[in-house]
Amino acid sequence: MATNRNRERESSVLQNITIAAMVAISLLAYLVFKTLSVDQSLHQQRLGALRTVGSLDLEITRLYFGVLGQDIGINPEEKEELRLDLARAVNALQEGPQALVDLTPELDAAMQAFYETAGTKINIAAEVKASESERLKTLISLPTAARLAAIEQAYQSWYQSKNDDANSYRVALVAYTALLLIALAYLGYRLRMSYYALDKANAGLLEANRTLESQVQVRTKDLTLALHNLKESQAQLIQSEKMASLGQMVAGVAHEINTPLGYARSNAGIVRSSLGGIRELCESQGRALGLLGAANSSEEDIAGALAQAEELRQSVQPEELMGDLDNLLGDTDHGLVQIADLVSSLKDFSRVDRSRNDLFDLNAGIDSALKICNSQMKGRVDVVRYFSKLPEIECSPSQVNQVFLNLINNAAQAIDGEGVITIETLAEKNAVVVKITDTGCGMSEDVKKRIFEPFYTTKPVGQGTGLGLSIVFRIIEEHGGKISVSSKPGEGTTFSVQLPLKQPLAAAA
Amino acid sequence: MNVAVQKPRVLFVDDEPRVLTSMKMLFRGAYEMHFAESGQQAIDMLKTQPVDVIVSDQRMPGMSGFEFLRAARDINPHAMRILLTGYSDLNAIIGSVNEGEIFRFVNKPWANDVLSSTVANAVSAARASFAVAQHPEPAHQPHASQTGSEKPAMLVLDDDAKVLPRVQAILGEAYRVFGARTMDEAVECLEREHIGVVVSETRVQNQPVVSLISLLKQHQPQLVTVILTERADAGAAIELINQGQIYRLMTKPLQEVTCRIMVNSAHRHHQQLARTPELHQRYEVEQPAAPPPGAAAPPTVGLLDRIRSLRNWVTGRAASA
Repeated sequence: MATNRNRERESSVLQNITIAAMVAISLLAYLVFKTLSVDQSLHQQRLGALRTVGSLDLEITRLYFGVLGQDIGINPEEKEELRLDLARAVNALQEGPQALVDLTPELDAAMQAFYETAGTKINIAAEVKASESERLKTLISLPTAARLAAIEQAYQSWYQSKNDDANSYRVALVAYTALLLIALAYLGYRLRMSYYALDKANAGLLEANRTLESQVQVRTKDLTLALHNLKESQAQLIQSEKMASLGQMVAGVAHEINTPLGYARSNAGIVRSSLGGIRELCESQGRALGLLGAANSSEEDIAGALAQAEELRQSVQPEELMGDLDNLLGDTDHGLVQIADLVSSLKDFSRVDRSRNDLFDLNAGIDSALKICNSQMKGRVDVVRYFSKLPEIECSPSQVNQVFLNLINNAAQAIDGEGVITIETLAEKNAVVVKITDTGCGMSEDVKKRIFEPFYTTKPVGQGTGLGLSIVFRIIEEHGGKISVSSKPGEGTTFSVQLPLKQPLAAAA
Repeated sequence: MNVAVQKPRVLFVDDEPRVLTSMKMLFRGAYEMHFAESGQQAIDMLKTQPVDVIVSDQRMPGMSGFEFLRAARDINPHAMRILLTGYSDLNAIIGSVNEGEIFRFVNKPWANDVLSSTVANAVSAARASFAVAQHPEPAHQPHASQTGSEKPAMLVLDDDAKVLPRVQAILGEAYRVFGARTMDEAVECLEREHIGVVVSETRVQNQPVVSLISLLKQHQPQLVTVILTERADAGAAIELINQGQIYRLMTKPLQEVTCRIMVNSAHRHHQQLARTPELHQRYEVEQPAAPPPGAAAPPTVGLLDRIRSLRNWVTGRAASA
């Protein structure tokens, strides 16, 4: 559109310039024409014609003047020739290109006067005889020369005025030409300037053209670098999300382990310190028994030893103590089993001892993930399991466990205060399905649409990277599975994960 | 007196009953023991039965140990509070210092003798300060050595030069704020001025300040320390509480309102400690474990001597006052 408008403007400018040039040229032509209206050769011809008339008239006059009073006959041939010549010459003033008619009224009047006089003269000359001296005198005295001079003068004055006009036009022409030259010079200057600018722009374009290639290369390099950095930082973020969830997991697991470890260790210490008293009692009782069995022991010794043993028994209270110690050792056992369980589920969870693509029972994976999340939910969230018997599926167990840990963690975090997480597993024809439902806060449609986007989070800044569910999504996608979510604000959320029994060959490779 | 013959009362709170069983056996005969399996249950018990010492687990469902101890402080301010932790995140520790005023952190798994001596120390501190702690804020008497119109003095120990002017800008009207960039400078300043409150980074010149703070607290128990740090980590914070009895912990960047509230509160605490020496035991520091060979050198003997003389100087001054 902009170019169209430019083109329109350009064409109208061009039109205006053409019109201006045409006006300027016609003005110039007009001035030149006006200047050229004085025709020097015509002027000379006219003057010549006037001279011819003048000289012929003079000759006729002289001829007749010659015969006057001498009474000699006039050579009729000569006379006739002169007469005809004069008539022709006079005619020439009236006809042809050099005719002196219709130039000015004065000239016309002078001409008229001359014609009359000249006509009279010619008429007289035609019929006059040498003897008729009176008529000859009349003829001679006819003022043809004066009349002719009047004509010449009128003509000269016309010519002069004509010449003056032409001169003034010439001056105008000179001025106009000078003006045009100035305008032309200005246009030339403008043109030179535009050319200069154009040259400069051209040089710039050339330069740009020449450097374009290298610029493109530099930009491409920059972009490649930026892309690389972006990928790297994304990988870093995913890693940091993994580390964050790992940290959270470690905090939970550390507490889960340290608590049983704490009381087991304490109990062991208590048992050890109690053993001192029991040992003393045993020794004392043994001594009393030894005295009883010995033949040479006195009654008093035996009574003393027994009393001492009884006193110790009273203070140690072995029945009660034994019961307590049994309890403590039972607790210790329980704690150690708990620790062993946890360690083994950690091992199950990480699956570092198993290959990437393995046959795996999802129920076991969910159980180990639940053990690890336990500390977050204990006493707050009830977990209800509806597990069906599942065929083992081909998958990367550690990644799939990560999916369940993230989903269960999310479910637990969605529940503010007390609630229930229901986990259901189903076997389908070629797939297994896991549904994790919480009675948490739920989410709106808008949130639901975006939850699998990387970096989308509803948690306060610093509490979540918004990568957890995007990692879940990626892992499931890589396994050729599907994840869907349904949620009602205030009622809870269900995540359904479907994983195929077998991995396509390409993915397994 | 009834109090003298009565066994000290200790309340144990843990969601794992086996821990409580173990405690029961460990302390059997020594104390009158009460047990609760959740913070809420413990709060209910405290409302009817005040105790001398509370030992609580940190990570419990429903109410965390730190939340419980904060509530317990309001109900039963006299009780000494000990937090038993399997794993603590930093925010929980900062919260418990600032709001729960914890006597000690004890890590799980605990050593029986350490736990026993910690509880014993807490019990004796609670007993020693019973009468005072029951009425924590009696009539507001200005401290003897501070009768003049002089503004109270405090010290900022930080090698970041920007901190001192900032603190001066925030507190300049109410306090005379002195600065120190090294521990030596800090001791010099403490010799020169009557400092009540120290605001310190956790490390200056790449040396941890915990041993200095610990020594200062041992020899000058009325001195109150507030930590202002940007390198907060859970381990260092626990060390500072156990060994330095720091009063508050702030993280950089410095917040004006928080700073003012904490320093004012620290100053009131200092005045109270100076007024009532019976309270000192409540803020007794834990002797650091034998320093591992090759660890950061403890303050030089010279520094130690100077701190000791500092005490003489202060006590002498107090006696002459």
